[in-house]
Amino acid sequence: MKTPRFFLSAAVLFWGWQVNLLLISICIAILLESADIINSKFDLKPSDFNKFIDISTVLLAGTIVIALTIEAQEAIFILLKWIPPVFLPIIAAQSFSTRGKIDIQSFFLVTRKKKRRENYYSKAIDFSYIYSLFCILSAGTANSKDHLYYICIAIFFIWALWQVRSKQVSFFLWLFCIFVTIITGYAGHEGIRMASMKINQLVMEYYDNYYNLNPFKTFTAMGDIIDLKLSDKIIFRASFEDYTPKKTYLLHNASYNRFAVSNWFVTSKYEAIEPARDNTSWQINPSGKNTKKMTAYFRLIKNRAVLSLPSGVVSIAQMKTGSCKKNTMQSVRIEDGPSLIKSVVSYTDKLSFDAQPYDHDLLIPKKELTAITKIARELAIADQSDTEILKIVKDYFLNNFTYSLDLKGKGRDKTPLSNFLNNTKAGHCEFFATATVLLLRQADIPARYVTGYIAHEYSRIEDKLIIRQKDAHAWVKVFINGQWQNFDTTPPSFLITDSQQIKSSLIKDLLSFVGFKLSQLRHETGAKLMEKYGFWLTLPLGLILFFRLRNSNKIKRIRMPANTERHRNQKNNDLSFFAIENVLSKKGFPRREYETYFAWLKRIEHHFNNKQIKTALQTLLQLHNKRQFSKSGLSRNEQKILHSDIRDMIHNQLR
Amino acid sequence: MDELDHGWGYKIFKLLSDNIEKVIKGQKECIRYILAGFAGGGHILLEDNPGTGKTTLAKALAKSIDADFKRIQFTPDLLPSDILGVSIFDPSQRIFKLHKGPVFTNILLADEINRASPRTQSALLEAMAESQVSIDTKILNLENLFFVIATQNPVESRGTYPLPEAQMDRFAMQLQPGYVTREEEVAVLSEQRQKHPIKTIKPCVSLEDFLKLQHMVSQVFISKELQGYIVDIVNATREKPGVILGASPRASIALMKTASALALFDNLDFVTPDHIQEIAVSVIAHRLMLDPQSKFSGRSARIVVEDIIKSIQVPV
Repeated sequence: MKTPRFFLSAAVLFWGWQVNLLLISICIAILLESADIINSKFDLKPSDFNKFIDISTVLLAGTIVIALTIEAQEAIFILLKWIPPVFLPIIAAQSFSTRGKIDIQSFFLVTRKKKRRENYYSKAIDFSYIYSLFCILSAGTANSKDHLYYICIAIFFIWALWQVRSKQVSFFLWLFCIFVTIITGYAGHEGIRMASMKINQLVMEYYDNYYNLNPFKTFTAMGDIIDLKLSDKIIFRASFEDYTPKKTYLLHNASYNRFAVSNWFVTSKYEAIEPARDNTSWQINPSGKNTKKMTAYFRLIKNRAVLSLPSGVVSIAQMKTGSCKKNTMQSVRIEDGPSLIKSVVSYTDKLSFDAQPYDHDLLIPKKELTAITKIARELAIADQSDTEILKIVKDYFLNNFTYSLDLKGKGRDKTPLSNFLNNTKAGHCEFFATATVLLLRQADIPARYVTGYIAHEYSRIEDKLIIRQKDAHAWVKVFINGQWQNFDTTPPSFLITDSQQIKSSLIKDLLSFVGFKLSQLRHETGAKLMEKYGFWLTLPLGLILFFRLRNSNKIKRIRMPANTERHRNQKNNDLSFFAIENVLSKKGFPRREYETYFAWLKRIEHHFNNKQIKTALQTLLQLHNKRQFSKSGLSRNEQKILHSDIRDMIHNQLR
Repeated sequence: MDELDHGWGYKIFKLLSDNIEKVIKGQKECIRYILAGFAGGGHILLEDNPGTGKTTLAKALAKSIDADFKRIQFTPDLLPSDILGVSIFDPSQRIFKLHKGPVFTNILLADEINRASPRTQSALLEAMAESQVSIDTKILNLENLFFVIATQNPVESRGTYPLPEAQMDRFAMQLQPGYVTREEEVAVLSEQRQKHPIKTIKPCVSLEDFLKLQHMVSQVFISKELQGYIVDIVNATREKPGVILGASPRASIALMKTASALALFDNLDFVTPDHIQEIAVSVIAHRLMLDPQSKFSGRSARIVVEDIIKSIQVPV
């Protein structure tokens, strides 16, 4: 079945318009339309079609290679976007061929091998509708979220269906059905969209409650970090310009300022950061002096991540991601991007960009108040200067507490924290940090609870600092002398304890390293190479194509006789049964090619209400058959009767 | 051939058809096809379940034409001489005297042809093809009007020698009369309460008239276009995937002759494409050999032929 006139080029132009390749699409459209205008065609045999299909296959393979290497995440979209040019050779070959159809066998290598038989035309298909569908599908990759796309698609479908609508159904009924379909379709897709949003929201809520690793949650429970501490999985790698052996770095993920029921909360809103023109540089804060650089590689979890950053981040460069947001607590999170993300961070190492302290930074929950005031009184920190207080607190924890990864619960005390302070005097970083924050707040020093990672392990094979899950850490930000600064009261021996308790395995590390290198090759080195030399990868494909096409025979060019079908009908118009066939088929009763007139009339005769017409048609058919198939043909008299009866039938009875 | 002539042919058909229908109820179409095969000079293979009236049909036809009718019940121990005849020494005259077998007749009913051994089958099939038999050294011509109706029973397979597809080609068409409708079967019951209607049937057409009818069939005009259509259909069977052995040129000839006969029965002196489409399946299907895979997937030869007809543009 052939597409209506201009349908194909309209679909191509629609594609070009949607994906911003209008110029290419105009060229394609002109090419395809010219096939209808130019009279001469090519006599393509099935083997010739094979070659055109081969060209498209190679183009497709080439597009896949390029799409995968340039932008693995977007590969499918790039591929879809370029579908129409990829299949252009096939549709062009069909349009310019005398046959106008493609043998379905040609599309598959397996079926091509079979012995070719001449009588296979029944299996030939017209590629034009399929191609139009490709164009429309491809246009969808532009993903313009407005209603225009839907409207255009509806128009295309109406256009295509108009051609094949049953003429037995009245025009208005047809239009009504189409209209209903469009409305239902729209409502359906709108409904699905809303349902998906709702489900998404529900799932996220559920997720927030039960899944600790969600990077975007705005609270942290005491004990979250110890869960992380039990794994030695390498989660990111970083290198610092000022690294000297044994140096450690605190990499901040998020700060919290409200503590309640063993949970830390933050209420700061995230705001989006616009990328620089190259789409990979992000200005996080106004520029600062004496910046240092850190280069980090990490992976996204569920396509998102909270960045682990040193203090005072000014900007992040070379980071390919969809969106980047930060809050006033200097927590930065990103969404979308390749599976391995690189970031080059410039930072000042000063906490000068954090939000100024406010009342939340001094709150102490009532439940913890007794334990905290008791210790504050013991330490007599009320009248000291801020710096003195820090020193006292630090010494207090260092001398009286031990680091332990065993969770002790709340014991006989009201809360786990008071149990830690009063009884066990042993715990891990979360307890130290929380206790310190509250203790400092008791002395009227604003303090915040910080979670993040401590980078301390240098890997010689990788020449980078590797940060494992067990390096998750909590510490304190404290506001003194008009400045925020990091303050860590966890006994420094904790790193040693950690590495003794959670052994890392060399094999696992090596595997992780190999995986990392492969990802790096794919996302960093590969992308760069592809940009420069990617084109050459298509060379072998081109060679294959060349060899496949080399032995092609010369294709004959044939001048098409003016449309034969129309010719025949015109010649016989008004003279014979062909005219009646024309009239009836326009009314929605087309004859099938294999049907004789007799069988055809028999099939459709129940549609005629008038019995007279039935018998009249039968008589006419007998005359027609006599004229066509008998030896003598019609006598002059019979001829006259046939002509006048047919005229009468067409102009009066069949109206 | 003038106007009167083919009208006469139509009249003969009508007489025969009405006469047979007195005996066989509800098989109008089958009778039409059998007569078409008969008038077209071909032989017919009836394949149907026992008791559907195959033998009665053949008998009624023979009786209606005032022609000689013989019947052979095929069994595994039947010998060729049982069909063709045998020379026996006559001691009184001291010569061999030929005793002609049942094949020397006008209408021969070969009942359950697939029960005989291949040797016996081929004796008959050769007689059918050549219209002559050789006994000892003598070649004897068969009757001018020689028509075989063979029957085959599809349900039993034990002790049968199915006709090879190549032999099937000798039959102009294979028909499956099938069961009649409920009303028609009730009519059969009420008619046969006293005696079988076959006893009352009288000849209505003379042998000479029928031979004339056969001659008239060959005079029916078939246009070049339709001859091409016939060849297209038969050719397509040779190229259709899933068919190992297509139909022979003999099939084209049979199709043309039977279609011509149908045209005559329709009171026309020319063939229309409808006649060809009407009879094509019966004429072609039994000659095709399908590959095991097609058979396994449930395609029958009849369906294949129907598909072929649907794939070819008909001249109108």
